[in-house]
Amino acid sequence: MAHLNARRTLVSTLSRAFSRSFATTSSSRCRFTFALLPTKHVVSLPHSANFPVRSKSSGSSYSPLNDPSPNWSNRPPKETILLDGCDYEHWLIVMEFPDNPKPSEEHMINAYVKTLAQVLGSEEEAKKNIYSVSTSTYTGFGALISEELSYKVKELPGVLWVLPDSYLDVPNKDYGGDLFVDGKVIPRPQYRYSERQPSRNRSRPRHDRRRETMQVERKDYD
Amino acid sequence: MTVAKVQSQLCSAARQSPFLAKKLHAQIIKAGLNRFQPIPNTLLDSYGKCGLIEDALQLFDALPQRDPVAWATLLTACNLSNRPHHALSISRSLLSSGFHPDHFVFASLVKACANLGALHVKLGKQVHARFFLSPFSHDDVVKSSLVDMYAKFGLPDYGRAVFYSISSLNSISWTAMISGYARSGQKFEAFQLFSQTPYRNLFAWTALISGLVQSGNGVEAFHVFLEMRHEGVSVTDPLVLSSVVGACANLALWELGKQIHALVITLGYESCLFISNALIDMYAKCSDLVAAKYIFCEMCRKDVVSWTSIIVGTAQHGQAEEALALYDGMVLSGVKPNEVTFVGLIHACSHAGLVSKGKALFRSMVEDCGITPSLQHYTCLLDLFSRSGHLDEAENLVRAMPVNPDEPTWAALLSACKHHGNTQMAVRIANHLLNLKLEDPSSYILLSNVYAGAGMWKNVSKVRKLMLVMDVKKEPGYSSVDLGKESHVFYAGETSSHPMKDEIIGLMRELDAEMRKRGYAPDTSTVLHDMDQQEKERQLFWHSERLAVAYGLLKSVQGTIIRIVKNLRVCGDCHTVLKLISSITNREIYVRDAKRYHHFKDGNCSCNDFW
Repeated sequence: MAHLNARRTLVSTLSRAFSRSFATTSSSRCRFTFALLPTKHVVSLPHSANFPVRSKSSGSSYSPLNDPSPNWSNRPPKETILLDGCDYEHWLIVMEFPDNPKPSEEHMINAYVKTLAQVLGSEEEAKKNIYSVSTSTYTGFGALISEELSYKVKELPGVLWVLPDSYLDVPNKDYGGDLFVDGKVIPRPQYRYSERQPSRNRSRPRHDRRRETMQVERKDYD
Repeated sequence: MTVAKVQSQLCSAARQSPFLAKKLHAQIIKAGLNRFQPIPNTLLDSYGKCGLIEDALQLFDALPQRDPVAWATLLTACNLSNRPHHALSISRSLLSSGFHPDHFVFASLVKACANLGALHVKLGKQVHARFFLSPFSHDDVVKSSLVDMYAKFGLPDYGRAVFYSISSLNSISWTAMISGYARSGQKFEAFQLFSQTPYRNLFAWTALISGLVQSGNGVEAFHVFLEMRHEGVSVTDPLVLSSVVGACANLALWELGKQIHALVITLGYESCLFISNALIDMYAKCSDLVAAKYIFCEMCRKDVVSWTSIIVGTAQHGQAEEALALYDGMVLSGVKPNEVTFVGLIHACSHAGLVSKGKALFRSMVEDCGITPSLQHYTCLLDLFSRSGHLDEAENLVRAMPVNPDEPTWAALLSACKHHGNTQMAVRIANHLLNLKLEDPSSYILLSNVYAGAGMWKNVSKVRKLMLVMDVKKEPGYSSVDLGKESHVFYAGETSSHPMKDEIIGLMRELDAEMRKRGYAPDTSTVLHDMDQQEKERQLFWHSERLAVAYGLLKSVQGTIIRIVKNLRVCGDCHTVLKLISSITNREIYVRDAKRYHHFKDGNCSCNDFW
């Protein structure tokens, strides 16, 4: 996991989560726990007095440190976890295009339609079932097809990824990209993210703690 | 050549290239400016930012006078280049030099300690003490750094004490504190702080989520992530995505991993190096090597983590030649392997029975790369010897290794002895194990079988007694099958709650009948309990992985791979059954159990019946 580079103004406080450690504890069934402020510990922090306390259902005051026999096994989630908008009928299909010469937007969109047409039978059908396209942030489109058909799309030439699509903009229930309606592209620049780099300067290779993908003792080499 | 001009040139050199910095250094010496501050300090800074840490150190040593700026610059350079051992020695010499650090130096010192990690808690506390006693003890920036340092040490309560002493809390201090609690698994405190923070921005969410993932609370991390998405927080930094991908890897959630991958693409982070690394690892852990390789090949820049992830992934799935070929590629591309790479490589050798290659790699790791072998390395080496029948070497290694082998390691060795028919050695090891407190029921079964095979009935009943005692705390076996919208977790013996139970049982009965036609007979030696033959067969019938497979067959798209994750070692009988099912139904079944990956296809398993 990358670390934010902190000079003196401490920006990096984020922990690296990319670790292969299989240490887990989750024997409590608590789903989403935003605990209430316990009345015992009245904490007089500046600024805290006026802020609304989220009172979602609290799990327990469970802490692995309190648990007499913490069960450090990786328990799978009891209920299926799905991203919002993910229904296994909306699929994100990413295609590959050669770099030189870089094809025009029109060419790419044609390719999308033609590709989907191969599994749906006609370009008409394909145009009806494409709900989003992108040629900038990524080169792909969103299609409304069954899970079974999605496996067929995967095998077509030029197709790089076929992944379950979900809301890019959850509050507005929007799958993102440019809209594609009746064969026409309706651009939505707010969903275009050009060449995103992490906010830290990563121009130089950094030592990554993610090297420690297994639990290995870090030795001091002097 | 004026001082000001040189200054500005140095500053821009820092952003451009080491070569330019060195060129300027030469000019500075010739112009006789190398003793006039602020030039030496700025040069030091440039070298630091260009990553020329050795040159920076040399320059520092040559300075006639070291002012606080020089120290701070040097420490910053160490932190940037992330050479913890340099930082360590510099910190120690600073503390004992009688020099009085200012708040800038303290901040860099604390950061260096944080980077050194939990092994150097003492040094961190020393620095804290010095800071506390210094005239700068009110400095909030240093205090925030201390909170972060304690978070990295896994001591969030210390951090909290400092947190309370901060006079004006900002986003950074809150985030550091939340991160501290989340990383050490103190969920309650983390959530509490999160609900209080006035800075509920992406960084706070990220700190909470990645801390939860790191402390093993992946499921909770997902729920928090979903909540974050509900609030429409703009993902301007991809760190949170890579944490969630990491959680998918740990829990082998292929479907969810794909959903996150889609999100990574639509948010524009497809070309981000560390996200790609996380995705390779996730796909590998979810047994989708094709996808892992795709991602690897598409990356324009690959670092040691990228190479290691793909090598370990291919190795763990038994693709030994591929893993070794990838290693050659890695060496050719100039990337240095690390300790994890070698775990993967030795593992690869154990799959292909390449004993001398494995030993050579182990030696190379120690001698050429200076890496100290860990338990994992020894375990893989043991695996290598065991699988290829070099049992004496294996036993010697077990006795000689400086780290204590864990239970799966002993179990692997024992089953190797059994497999190769070396009863004497098996009994020797079994006697040793009898005194240890074994956790996995399959280890007891193994012991019992070993003694039974040697005719040592007294010991068999001894083991049985131990099993009964242990039975109370036995971890229930469960298998989860990953099916997009309809994933499910099956616990051994229970289907009464599932809506499709009749179909599942029906299918299992059908398959059972077909299997018996093909000559299958349940191997009841793998059943722990004392019961009659019929009961034992019934017990096996309900093993969770069979339920999971049946459900998978019913619900998944025809022809696709069924993916299952089991918490315990797959038992002998289930292994046979799964092989048969794969050939009867003509489907591939991928099972990840406590220790290995099994790919069942056409009646065979990728582990070659050795697990």
